[in-house]
Amino acid sequence: MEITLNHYLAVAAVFFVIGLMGVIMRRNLLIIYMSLEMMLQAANLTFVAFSRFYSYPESPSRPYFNHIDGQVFVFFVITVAAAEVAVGLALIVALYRLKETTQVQNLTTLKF
Amino acid sequence: MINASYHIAYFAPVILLTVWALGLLLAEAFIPLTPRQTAWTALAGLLLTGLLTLAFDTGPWIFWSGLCKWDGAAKFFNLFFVATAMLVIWMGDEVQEPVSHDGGEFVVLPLFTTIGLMLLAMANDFMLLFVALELVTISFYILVAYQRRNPAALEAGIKYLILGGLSSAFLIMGIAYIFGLTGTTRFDAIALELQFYLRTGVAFGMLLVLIGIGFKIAMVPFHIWAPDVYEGAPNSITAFLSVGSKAGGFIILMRVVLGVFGGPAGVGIWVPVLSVVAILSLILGNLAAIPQRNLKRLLGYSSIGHTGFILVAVIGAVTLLPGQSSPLYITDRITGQIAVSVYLVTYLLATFTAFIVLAVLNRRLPGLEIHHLAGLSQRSPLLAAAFALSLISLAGVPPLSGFVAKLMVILVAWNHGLYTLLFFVIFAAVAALYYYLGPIKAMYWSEPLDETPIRVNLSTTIVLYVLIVLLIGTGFWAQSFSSFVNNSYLAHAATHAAGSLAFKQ
Repeated sequence: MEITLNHYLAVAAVFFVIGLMGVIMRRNLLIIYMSLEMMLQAANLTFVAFSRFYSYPESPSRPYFNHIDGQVFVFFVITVAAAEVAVGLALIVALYRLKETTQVQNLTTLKF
Repeated sequence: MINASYHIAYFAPVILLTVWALGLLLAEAFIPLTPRQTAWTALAGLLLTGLLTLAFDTGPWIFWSGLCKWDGAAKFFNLFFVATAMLVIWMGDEVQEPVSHDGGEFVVLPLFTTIGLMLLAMANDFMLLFVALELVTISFYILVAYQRRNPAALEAGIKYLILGGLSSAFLIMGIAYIFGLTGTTRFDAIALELQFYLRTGVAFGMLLVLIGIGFKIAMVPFHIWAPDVYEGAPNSITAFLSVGSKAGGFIILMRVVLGVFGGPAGVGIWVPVLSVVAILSLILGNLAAIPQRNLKRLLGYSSIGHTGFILVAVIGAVTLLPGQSSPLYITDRITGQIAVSVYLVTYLLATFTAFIVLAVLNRRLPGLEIHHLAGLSQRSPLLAAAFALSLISLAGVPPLSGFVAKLMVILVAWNHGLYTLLFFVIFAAVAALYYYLGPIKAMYWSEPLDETPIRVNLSTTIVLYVLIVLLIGTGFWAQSFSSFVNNSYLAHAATHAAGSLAFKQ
């Protein structure tokens, strides 16, 4: 079976939805944060797949062409995600030191 | 006016501020600077950046292989963000109680946020948009949770972190789909591609991008973070979030929905979506503010309501005029844009007045609930008057500046036949009056529990007077105020009308 663009997109979409479900349903901040990273990686996979299978409509002789923009974008996403994780984990560690927990149901200082 | 032949020169303000911020961070590590010295050095850097920005013309120029665009909107919003950051840093140093005694990061980080916001205003490519937006968001995560030993601040920071990360994930997934189906990330190239026809995948990507931006501007249903984060963050940062982050969100919202998806096909999809969202924001923001007792939460919900008002102006920027078959003349778009900008300026004035008062009170009162304000007019007439005027302006009562903003939104909606939206705008404005009057009643018609007068230091007094004069002045001289905004947008645009503001069809 030939692996086409749609296969990659489907895998990325599944990852994205699993990550989203993780963010919504899990109660542990670290797991939530991992799920967030999974959503970002799903977007990266989409980018790479699109840029690998990019085709110029006007050149049927070269149906697929590595479109470099998407691959460059992935590096930006990875870098930004790393910065975000650095800050995020620092906040979660600070929370653990203060409250000895990383469960979201214990975040109840601010409420309606 | 500098009309640079090397367009990279338009980067100068951003580069200046970046060098200044990094230099300050480095200097602060080696030289023992007092917090006051750090703050005033940062203010000097911002002032220079602002003056340098003023020196440039308004293009429009696209440079760096289409990564950046310098136009009237970019210049206007760059100045807006510099002014916001100056007020924020001044507040952090002078008005509120010291947030931290170690390190000057609390002063330097707002500079990085400002750099991100300035780049957002100049973005002409999703790549720059993403990186600039993340620069803004990540420095806000730190700023919100800066008092990390205070449970409320830390909790606010974590809530902002998780929901901000979620919104980035949506944004980047949307950008991936838009890139994949158009083959480019440049705004003008995508707009050209999508002129008449929008593939389903691109529409899907657009909705994901709207979700990502929606978090930043706190529109319903992506507003959940706003009240909690507003309550937990230090006062100056709450004001920054409420003004800077919202204005940044709106400038990219305008670039994306009016520029990238401004063609007939795109408009057909996002106008109904944003209309529903605007109505929800108007209703929820204004009704949920009514039972609030904490002033910062109240302003948080009111900020969601204001998002609704500004969204109406954004929608008004493109809607078909009645009887017009081929859509969207550029003048209509500019009317909507001017309404958005005027609204944001008046919002800046009123919000900062309110938060400066709250920051002063935070040091003297046991809490920031409405009942703590009782009899404030007897304890400090200036603070009471400033807070009352800012709330009345936010409510949109003539002749204050908030009225001009609301009037412009209503006119845009009326001229473009958005009667349903108009109904909700007026309903929300009336509901807003009710909860804005609560604190005023407490300040002027309740007996104080504690008679001791509250002293305000000289610089705070001066800034409050200036803000009050601006709040009243922009309301009374609304004509010259709105034409000032208009002119700063369009100074050079007459000759480039079609290209200006990236609104080519």
